Amino acid sequence: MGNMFARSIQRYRGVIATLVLINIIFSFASEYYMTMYNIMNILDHSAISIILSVGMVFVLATGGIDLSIGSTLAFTGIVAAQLFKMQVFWPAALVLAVLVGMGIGFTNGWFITHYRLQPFIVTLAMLSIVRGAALILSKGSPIVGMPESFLQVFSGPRILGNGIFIALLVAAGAAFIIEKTAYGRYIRAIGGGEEAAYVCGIRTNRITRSVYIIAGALATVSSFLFMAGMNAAEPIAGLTTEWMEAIAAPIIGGNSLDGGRAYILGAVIGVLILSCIRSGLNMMGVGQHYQQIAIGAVIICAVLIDSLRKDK
Amino acid sequence: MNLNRVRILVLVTCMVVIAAGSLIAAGAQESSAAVESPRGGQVSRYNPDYGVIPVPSKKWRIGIMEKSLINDFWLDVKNGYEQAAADYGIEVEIFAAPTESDIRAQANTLEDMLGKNYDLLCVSPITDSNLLTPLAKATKMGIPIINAIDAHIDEENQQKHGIDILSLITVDFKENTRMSVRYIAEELGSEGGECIHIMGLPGGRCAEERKLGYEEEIAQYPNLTNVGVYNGEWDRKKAMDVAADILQSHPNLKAISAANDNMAMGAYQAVKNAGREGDVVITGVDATPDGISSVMNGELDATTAFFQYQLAYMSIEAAILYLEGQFDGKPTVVFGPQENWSAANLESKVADYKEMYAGLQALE
Repeated sequence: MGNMFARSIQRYRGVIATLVLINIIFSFASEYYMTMYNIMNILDHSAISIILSVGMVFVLATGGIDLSIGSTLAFTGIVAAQLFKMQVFWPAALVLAVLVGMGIGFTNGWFITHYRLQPFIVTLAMLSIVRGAALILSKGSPIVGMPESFLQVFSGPRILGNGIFIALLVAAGAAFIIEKTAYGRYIRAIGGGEEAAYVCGIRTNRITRSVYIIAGALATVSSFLFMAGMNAAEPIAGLTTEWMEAIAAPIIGGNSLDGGRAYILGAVIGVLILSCIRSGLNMMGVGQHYQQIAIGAVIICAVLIDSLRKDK
Repeated sequence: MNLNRVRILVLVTCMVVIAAGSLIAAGAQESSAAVESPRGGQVSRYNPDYGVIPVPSKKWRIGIMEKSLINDFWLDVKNGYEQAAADYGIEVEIFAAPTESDIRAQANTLEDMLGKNYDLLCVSPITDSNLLTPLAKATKMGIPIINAIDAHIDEENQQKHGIDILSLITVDFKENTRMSVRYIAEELGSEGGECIHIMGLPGGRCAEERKLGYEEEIAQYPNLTNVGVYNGEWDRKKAMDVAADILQSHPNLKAISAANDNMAMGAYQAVKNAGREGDVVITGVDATPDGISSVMNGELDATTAFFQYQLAYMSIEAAILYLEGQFDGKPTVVFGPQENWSAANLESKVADYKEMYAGLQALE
């Protein structure tokens, strides 16, 4: 256990240092940054991106990418909200929504494995299809008003909602699967070289499909947090920031678009870094336009470090 | 080891660059809020119903959340806020979502703002519901809220979520396109003909209401036929493509009402490409500088102007009234004025409003 801890520190040294440094800089830059209220906010805001990023780590590990998760987030949220409106018992509605999310993931995976299409293109197409479906199903307007007990579970008593705990639970489960199970090794093996993995007896198509299903399911779970946070299901949820962060954060955390790596904790820290930067710049009153430059700069730096590491 | 050193060096450098960049940015923002001799003690500049606006008893701090800062409209709004703040000698801090579709980022940023102890908030939500949670928090924290310009937090949501909205200061979006339809009806005369509407991104109040305004008003004219509402997503290129398709499928099309000037100009390009220039009436909304010069050049026929700068200015006046304890009895719902601008009246209108809108000054 101690050994594993030491190894984690070793692996994530760079991102942890970045996170600490950012926090030190912002604490000096703004009196409002290091307050209990703001720290809670940062954690609360990270929850959705953590869950999406965890799903993305599975996909990235196989050398794939899933651009459709933002649309899946919106669509499954609308599905759940419509079921709420039809007076379906809410946990059952959530289960159905998760199944829909998995269905979207399966469709992605099926086109990718069965027809050998590029994940980028398949999921880009799905991004558009599922967004359209979300707009149709919601008639273009948000659906407001969620069941009280649903809000209690996914949002919980305000200040620090339950979202971050759910997100960390998801991340812990995912880390266990990746570190401790054969499945975790298989997905990395596929990313390392699909043919070699196949020759070794790994059922590569089935495993590849499964990671898109996981990404779809987790996008649905994140939509529950989204809905609980807004008390509404929005057809334009997850249009940009969410899915871009879900790709950027794992990369910042040391994962690679080339596959073969699956660093869950790295992705989680990656999300925290992005959240801290956003919050810190807000606290300093830095304009939105400058914030985008700052966030882009961090992503570039992360990729740069990634490429340095690869040279080793 | 060496590699690690490089890694850390890169990280530190990047942090320093970001920190320096942010400081410069913050500095740039501060310097723009120069204070002159405060206004106050005079009748409201743009809303006579507010009566006399008192001289602020202290330098109130007001947090502003705009929808975005990526087009002229929201920049005019920003100028309105900043001018009012400078005139009355109070402080405003202006935030926005990265784009007009980033609903979650707007909510998160507003939650961040709640940690900064503002005396009052002016917010322009992207949708009717995306800011409910942070606004409920604001009410709980005792921060007064003005719902300025755009989506409304309606009565039902206010009660359900425990949000106190002090005042709604906005535009009647339905009236925007109603004006367009009235203009089209006048231009086409008794002959009438087929019309379409190119709407903005579905889901937002503004897009949906402009669509409704078009549909309701056109139903009033038996000689105008609505042959459809199409989605242009507020985008010039998309509107152009949509319009090109419709011109193919409806060769008798007589008028295009677009939900903003940007899309109207896209539609104009399609009409021009189809060789039907001058044959189809094209109207926009917003009276953006580009839209206005397009009307001047005889491309667009008309645009609906409403006065976002004034709305922002009024919001600050309302805020001061409230913070000075003089808001009782003042109007809580304010719809700003709007006008149809076409070649017939454009020149005098531009002269009238040039002072407030940087975009209009740049026209000449």
